[in-house]
Amino acid sequence: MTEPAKIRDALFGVAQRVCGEFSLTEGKHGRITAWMTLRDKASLVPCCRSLKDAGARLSMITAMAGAGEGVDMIAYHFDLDGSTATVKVSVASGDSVETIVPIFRNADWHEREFIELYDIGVHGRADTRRLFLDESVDGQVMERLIPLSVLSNAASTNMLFERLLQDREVQ
Amino acid sequence: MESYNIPVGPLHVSLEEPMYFRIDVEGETVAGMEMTAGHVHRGIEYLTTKRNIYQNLALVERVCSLCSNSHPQTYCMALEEIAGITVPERAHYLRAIADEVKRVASHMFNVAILAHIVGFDSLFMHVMEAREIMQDMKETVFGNRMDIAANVIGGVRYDVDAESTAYILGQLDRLEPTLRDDIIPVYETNRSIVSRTRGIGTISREHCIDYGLMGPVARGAGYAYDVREAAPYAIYDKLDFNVVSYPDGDVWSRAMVRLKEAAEAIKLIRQCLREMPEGPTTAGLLPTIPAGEAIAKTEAPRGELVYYLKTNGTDTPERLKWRVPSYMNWDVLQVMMSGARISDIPMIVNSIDPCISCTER
Repeated sequence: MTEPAKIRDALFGVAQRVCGEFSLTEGKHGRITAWMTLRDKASLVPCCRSLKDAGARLSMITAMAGAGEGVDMIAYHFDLDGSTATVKVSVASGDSVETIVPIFRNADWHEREFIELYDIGVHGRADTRRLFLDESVDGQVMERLIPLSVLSNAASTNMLFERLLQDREVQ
Repeated sequence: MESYNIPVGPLHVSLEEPMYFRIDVEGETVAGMEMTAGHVHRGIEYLTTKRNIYQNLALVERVCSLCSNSHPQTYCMALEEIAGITVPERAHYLRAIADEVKRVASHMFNVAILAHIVGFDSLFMHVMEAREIMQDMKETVFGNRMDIAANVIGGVRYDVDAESTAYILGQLDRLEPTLRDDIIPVYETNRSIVSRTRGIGTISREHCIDYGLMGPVARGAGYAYDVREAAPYAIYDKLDFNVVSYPDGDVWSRAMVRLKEAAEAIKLIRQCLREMPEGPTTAGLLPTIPAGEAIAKTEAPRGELVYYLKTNGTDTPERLKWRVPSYMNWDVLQVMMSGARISDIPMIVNSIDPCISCTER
C-alpha cells in the first residue's frame, strides 16, 4: 500500500496546478478522501492528466442535475491505492465538457451514460452512440419529471394479466 | 477465409441475463465484437431520488441478487459517513459475515456455470449441491436465500446466538472439506476443465490497469487489488486473510481465484464468529441526516463496488449513484475474445461473472 503521506502530497500537487476549492480528510485506516471543485471546466483535462500521473484510477463518474438553476454538475471519482479523490466541475445545461477517454479508457461508458441521461454533452469523443437507452427513448431522463405510473410501465408486461383472464375464461 | 457476423443474445442459452453481442468471425476465429446493452435498464437511480432513505435500503438490495448484500451495505456506509453514525463493533463483524456468506455463494454459482458450459454437468450439479449448504444457511440465519436484508442504517438487522453460531459452524464444516478436497482439485487438474479454460480469454495486468478492471477478473491477471485490503471497511483491518491472485489472466485463473476466495471467505466467517465481541448490533435511533456527500466502497463478489451519495437535509437523497465492477469488465471482453474460437464465447462471457442487472440498473 502506498504511504498516505505520499498520496496526500500527490493530491496537494494536483490541487496546486488547478484553480478551485480543495479539501482533504484522513480516515481511521489512513485512507484519504479528497474533494476538488474546479473553477473552470477547462481545468478538467489537465487535472485528470495530473491525477493519472499521480497513479490514480478512474472509479466512476456521477452527473447531477442542478436544482432549477440551469447548471449541472459532474463529479469524477478516482481511486489512489484505496484513497479517494473526487473532482467536481459545473456545466451549464446544454453545454459540454471535454472527453477524458484519452486519459482514462474506462471513462467511455460513463460518458456515454451521462450524455443520454442528462443535458450534458462531451466533445472530442469518437463514439457518440447511446449506451443503455434505445434511440426511440427521449434523452435527459434524469432531468425530467417522470410520473411513477409511466416509469413503471416497463416493469411488467400484460402477459400475466392476459393469462389470468384466459384461465378465467376457460373455467 | 470467409467472414460472418454472429448474433449472440439478447436472449441466449449461455447468458443468464439479456445482452446482445454482434461477433465478427473469420472462419472459426473471433475477429471483433460489438455489444448492445440496456435490455434491463430499470431507472433505479432515478427511483432512489423519489424514495426516502429507508425505502432506498430495500430498493438497492434489489439491484442484483448475487451481490445483493453489497449494495445496501455500501449505501449504509455512505449514509453513516454523512450523518456521523458510529456502527457498533459487533455489527461490523456481522456485516462481514453476511458479506462473506454471499461471496461464497456467488463464486460457487459462477464456477458451477463454467462446468455446465464445458459440458461437465456432473461437476455442475456437485458444485451447486455444495452451494446449497450456503443457501440453506442464508435461509436459516437471515430468512431468505438471496436478498438477506442483513443491513440497516447504523448496523445490522440480524444477530447470532450460541445455537445459530453452532449451526453456521456446522454448515461450514460440511462445505469446507468438499470445497477444499473435492471441488478445487477437480478445477485445478481435470483435463476437461483445464483444456477448455487454460490459455482462453487471456488478458494481461496492463489491460487491468488500462480498462480499470476489478475483482477476480483483475486478480486472475495478477492485479491484486482488493478493497478489503486496500481500503479496509467494517473490521477487515482486524481480520487475517489472503488476497488471492493468479498471474495468467485466462478463464481458468479467474475460476481459480473465485474458488480460492470462497475457501478464504469460509475462514473469514470462522474468524468473525470466533472474535466477535458482545454488544449492540445497531447504533440506535437515527439522527437527522444532514446535507452532505460521501463516497463508500466495498469488495462485492465481482470486485470494487462504489457508492456516491449526496443529501440535502431532507429524508430523500439528492443523488445516489453507484458503479458495479461488471461495468468495466464488460468492455474488456473484446480483448478476451479477440482470436478466440466460437465455441469459447460462452466460456469467456461467463468468466467475467457478468451481472447485467447491476450494470444497467
